[in-house]
Amino acid sequence: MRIGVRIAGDSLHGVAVAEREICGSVTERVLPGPGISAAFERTLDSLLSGSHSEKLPVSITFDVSRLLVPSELERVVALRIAPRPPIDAAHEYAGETAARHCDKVEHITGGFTKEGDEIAALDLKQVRSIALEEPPGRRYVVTGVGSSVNPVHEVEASRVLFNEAKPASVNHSHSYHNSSFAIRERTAVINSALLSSGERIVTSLAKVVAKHAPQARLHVMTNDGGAVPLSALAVKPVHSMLSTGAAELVGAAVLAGVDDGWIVIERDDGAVLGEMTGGTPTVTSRSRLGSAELIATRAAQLMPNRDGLIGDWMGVPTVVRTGADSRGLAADASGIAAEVDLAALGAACAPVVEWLERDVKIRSEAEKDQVLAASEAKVRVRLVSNGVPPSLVRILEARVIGASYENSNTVALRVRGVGGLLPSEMLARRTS
Amino acid sequence: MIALGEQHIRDLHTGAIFTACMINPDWAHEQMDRVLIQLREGGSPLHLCSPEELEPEGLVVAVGYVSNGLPPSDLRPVGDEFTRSLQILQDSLDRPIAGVMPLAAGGLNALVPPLAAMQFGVPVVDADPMGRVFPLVNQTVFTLAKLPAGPIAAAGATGEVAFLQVEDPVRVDRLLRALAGVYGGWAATASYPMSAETLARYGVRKSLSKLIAIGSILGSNNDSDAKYEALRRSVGVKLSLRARVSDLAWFARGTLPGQTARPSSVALVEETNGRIVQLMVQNEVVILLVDGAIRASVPDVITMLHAHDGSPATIEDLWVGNMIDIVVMHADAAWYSPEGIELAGPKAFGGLGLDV
Repeated sequence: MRIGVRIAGDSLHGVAVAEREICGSVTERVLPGPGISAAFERTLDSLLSGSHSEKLPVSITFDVSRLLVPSELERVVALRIAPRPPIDAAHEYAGETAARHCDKVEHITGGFTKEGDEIAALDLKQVRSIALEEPPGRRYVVTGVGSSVNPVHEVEASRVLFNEAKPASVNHSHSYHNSSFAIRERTAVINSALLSSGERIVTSLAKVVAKHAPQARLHVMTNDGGAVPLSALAVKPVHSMLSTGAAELVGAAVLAGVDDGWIVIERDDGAVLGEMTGGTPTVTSRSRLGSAELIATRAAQLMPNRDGLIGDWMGVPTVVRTGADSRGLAADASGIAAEVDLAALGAACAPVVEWLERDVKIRSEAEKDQVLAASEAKVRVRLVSNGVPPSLVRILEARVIGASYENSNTVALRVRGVGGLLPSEMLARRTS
Repeated sequence: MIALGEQHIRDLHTGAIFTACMINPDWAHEQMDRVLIQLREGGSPLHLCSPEELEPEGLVVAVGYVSNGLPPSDLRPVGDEFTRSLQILQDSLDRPIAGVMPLAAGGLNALVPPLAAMQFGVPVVDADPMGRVFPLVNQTVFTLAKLPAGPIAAAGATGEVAFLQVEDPVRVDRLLRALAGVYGGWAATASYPMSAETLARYGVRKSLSKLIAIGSILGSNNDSDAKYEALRRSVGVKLSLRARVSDLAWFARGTLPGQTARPSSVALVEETNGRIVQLMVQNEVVILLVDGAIRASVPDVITMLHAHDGSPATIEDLWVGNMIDIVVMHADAAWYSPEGIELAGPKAFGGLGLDV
């Protein structure tokens, strides 16, 4: 049995899928006081006591993006490692997000070239003096020039902070793949601001599952429409902050049996357009929430379905209606009415996902093939260790691409693997 | 001479991304942010003028990043690099600089002059050496006119600055590329010093105002059909086709000496009739093939738009499954002369493995 749970601020929606059928669907109100835990407990009770109660849940996947709220109270200390500090405000600026969430920006001498060679030695004395100045319990983000190739300065600075600053957390920006210092830092800053939220959610959900379904594998939806182990939410919540739209798209694809093609989701608050390719949402490498700044997270490409957006070249998109729309228009043959929560269904059916993105130095075709094979193997192993049967692992993309105007032997490597059934294989009977 | 405001800068940014087909548009976005902050807080006026609006003997200098390693979005400029290069060049030539132009009319370098101009207190000149972006510093209409590229000043984010007494444009590229590598990824250069009169005679004219016009079209809220129609009317479109990315590959082949990166290939499937489309990328999009036949090649400007809304797409958007519109435009007429084709045509880009 696969259970998907979407948790919004005041409601919780659960869907169970077993033997290629939707075998349960529940909506619970989240009441002040007992909160999410109680609502989730009731949801789990209800789904497990249904007709498939004899089947132990094999996986529970949560979509929690609406719960992830950046903390305004825990402001971040940003350490920027570069050869020299900026001379003015225009060159200090690294975006609105950093300005909003960082109450202190410290410049540390250091940094690496794209080849991984040191441009300037890391000034650990500066890091130590910052560590001693700041009160314990602060959150730090450390970003170094060239850290996507050589993260040693970020790691060294973090080591000093852990040893001497008693921090609540230290985030390295090299964990986020992008060629922009500001985007890496911004992503780490938002991640830091979401950590408390992510940790609280993981603890409360894991407690309930331990009581009611201790054997279950727990996952959380990611922004790309995949799922990763729930523990990742306490470490990199930023990759789950935009997941609801992606979960809805996967849910719509499952309901319509679409592995490849455009899907319009008509909701009470407007329609969005997305695309499935190879059973997963088409994604972009960087994303943003509304008009917010770009962050380094792979996210499903979803667009408000305004007039003129759907061209002839797209073919006829599949229309899935949800919310009040689905009840009034279910008879319309051109669309599919969703009688369950799409995001919860998407969470129940989302494939486990694994990415590997980094800059690598290679000098020949043979080295390229070797690096790709090793990276692909790493992604396969990670997926299997996250509970995917080896036969269900699919590598959707494994390639390197040259970086313009950069070192000719440093290339960007990207491998995307997923584990699980295709949307069209999830349900035997479609809702129509 | 016109005063440039925030909307001009935003349009310049959009036009610059479109014409360069950048690997990562954030490089230009961050430069735009710096220009906007300087506009709001720096207190210096920003003007765009034609070469004729300057004194004929007024000294105009090209400013731009020359890269070899980390991009300016990673190794971020400190802020004094271009002013240091301009000051050293001005001092060595013993002539005041009257205006700055971009080293290339596209990409990040199109956004360098507004900031450098405000910092140095001079106008931006509406002309440039390329009329588009080429990878090499010597791929300019000034090289075709046998004008020297030097002397040159080049500063790094490390605080170091070099003055190069060099004239041969090919040597200029080699030297700057080496310096850029040693600086950690890029050099902030001031090059091609010349009089406004010479620039008016040999440079590519109105290149920045063209980018601003393109940006105002593509940045509008119109749908993609309306944008394409406006683009055709405004700047002319040689060819456009819609295709879906099906494969990306990197060729582990060396390039010609002086070329800065090994090439990549992007395979796409044309949406309407299934023809195989291939883009050969070597810093810029160099060649467009359809079913194996070359349909466009440098010096043509080969670039991309998002199919769904007609906004500029970049190399970053070439993910398998994504749909893009490929747009081809003519470059400046000087590039279609035999000398222009030799300097910046397909044969100038080694490593593509094509018999062109």
